[in-house]
Amino acid sequence: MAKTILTISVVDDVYYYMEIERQPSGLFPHTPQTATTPQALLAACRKADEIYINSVFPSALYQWGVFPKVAKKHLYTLVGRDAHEKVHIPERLYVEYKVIKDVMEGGASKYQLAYTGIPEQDVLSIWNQFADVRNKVKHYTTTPVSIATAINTIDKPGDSFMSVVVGEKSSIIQITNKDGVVEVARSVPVGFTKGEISSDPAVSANFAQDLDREISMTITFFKQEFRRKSPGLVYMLGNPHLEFIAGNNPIATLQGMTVKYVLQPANVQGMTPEQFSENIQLLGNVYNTDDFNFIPKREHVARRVSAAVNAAYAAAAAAIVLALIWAWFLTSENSLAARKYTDTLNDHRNMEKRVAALREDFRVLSPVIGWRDLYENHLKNKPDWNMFLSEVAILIPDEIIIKSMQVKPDRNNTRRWKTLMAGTVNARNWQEALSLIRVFGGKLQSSPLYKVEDIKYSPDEMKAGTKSFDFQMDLNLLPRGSKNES
Amino acid sequence: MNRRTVYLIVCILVLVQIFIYCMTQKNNTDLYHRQTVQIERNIRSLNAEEAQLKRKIALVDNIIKTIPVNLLSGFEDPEKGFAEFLDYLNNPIVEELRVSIGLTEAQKFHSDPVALHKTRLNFKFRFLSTYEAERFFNFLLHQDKYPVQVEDMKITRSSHKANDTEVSLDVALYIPAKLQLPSNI
Repeated sequence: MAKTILTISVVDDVYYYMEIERQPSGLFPHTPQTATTPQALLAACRKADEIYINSVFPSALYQWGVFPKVAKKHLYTLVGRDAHEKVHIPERLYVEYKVIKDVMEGGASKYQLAYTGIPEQDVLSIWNQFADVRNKVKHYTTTPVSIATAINTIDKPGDSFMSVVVGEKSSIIQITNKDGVVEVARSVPVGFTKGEISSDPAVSANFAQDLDREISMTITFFKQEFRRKSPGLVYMLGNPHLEFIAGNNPIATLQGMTVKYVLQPANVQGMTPEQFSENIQLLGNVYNTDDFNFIPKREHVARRVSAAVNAAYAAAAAAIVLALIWAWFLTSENSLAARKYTDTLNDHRNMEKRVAALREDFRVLSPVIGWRDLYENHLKNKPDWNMFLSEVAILIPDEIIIKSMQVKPDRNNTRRWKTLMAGTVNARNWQEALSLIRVFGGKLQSSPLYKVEDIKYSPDEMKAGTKSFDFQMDLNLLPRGSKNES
Repeated sequence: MNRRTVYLIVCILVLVQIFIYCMTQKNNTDLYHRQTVQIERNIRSLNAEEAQLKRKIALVDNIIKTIPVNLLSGFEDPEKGFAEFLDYLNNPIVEELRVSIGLTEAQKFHSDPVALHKTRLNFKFRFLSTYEAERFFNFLLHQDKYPVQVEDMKITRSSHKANDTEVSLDVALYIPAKLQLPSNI
């Protein structure tokens, strides 16, 4: 997906800027433009997706040093203190460093690092101009850092090199190590117009002479600081006339050194190498790495907070969506449960009505059990009162006369009436009487209405001549058909 | 406090509201479930009771079929029922046998086994043949209108006159109250 990059370079309070389309096939730079205030390039800032800024920062301090191996936050303090000692200014310095390598010093392993320090006021004076679009700013560094990184990335010199970027009013002379880290950088008040070269040869000669002097001073300073010979490779960039000027006005300091006047970027489309080299200050921004980024720390904090807030927004949104899904699920479940509860409650009420009706029916009917008892115990199982005497009359022998009968219900058995029968037997002797009683008892026993329980026969007169003998018989008078049951 | 923070707080408040709503819904659902289970348990209990009542009613229904209808119909008014019984006794056989009727115990209410009024009566008569006596017994004891139960019967042959026999019969007359049955029985 294409992105619009806005690269800005601040030189001598002038804002040079250029829009670049970053596409998968490469970078497509637009025409460079100039503005005297950041408000003038506000439209371009709003249109851009990413903004890269560099500034010459004449007050910037480029230093190398050896520091003990301590924690990062302590190392930052040590570097800051070292920078303060170097510049002797009261105000706070913004310092960014890069660890170059581990070195042994005094028998201890230490860091060799390069750092750049800029007074806070200088950093913020530009940064605050872009407060409205600060979220888009990806990198904010010094112009020498951008130039060094760009040359190292594009040309890959493999050794330290010098670069001279000539502006219309000032120039930047810097020496960079083989890894693209600035060792020495100077902004010198030597400039040359990008327009037509003046017909007066003295203008070019004076420029060449001034530039030669500044390069010489830079090399001298470099040799003093780093105790190494000067680089053998020089990039002369920023002005299309430099090769012509140097050809007509040889720069003595550069004698014996390889001089390159153009860079050949591989991924920049629609722009000649000469145009690229002329705008190296602007285009160098897109080669910046994470090193020497002077975006204020509080902005980093603000961005982290913003990222955290965004993450919190995302989490809250996800949580709300999940909670809404959960709520929908629970509401559906609750509706189903409520419907089932209502249905069950209706079933329960209907069932209660039915059972209540049955209870009432049973309550009304339950006395019937008493009626059954009344009927079966007192009325149903009655003997054949209309023939119980006839039955005796049929079975009784002529010799036996019944004198009395008493019939009473058996209190222990409602299907039985206790009957006490008293009578007299007319016989020739007591043995014959006994025989007749036995016969009568046997007949009664065989009757469906009677059951013989006991016979009491004890004649007082045993002698011959007695004609009658009394007896008693205990019987059970039974309802018809119940004899076999008992 | 910036706007984004306010929005975030609003989001969190919305989330809390949704969470509270969800918890309320969940609690309500749990409550519905618990009450439904309780009601279903009651329904099962009522189902068992319904089946038991139906069995009991069917049993009582069968009992009713074994009891004579005229007995179940009972009497609206016990005094009137007793008077009707006396009217029933006003029969030629009573006069033929010269049956003397005595009230041995006045009408008394009993609640067991059913609501009824019980009256004790004594009948005395003499007979020469068992046929005569059994006619009376058939008249008094083998009718379905008035529940009469024999409590004591003494039959004594006269020592002076052949075949002359005296009967003393103690009976209980039951005048049950009318049974109110449901229309569907």
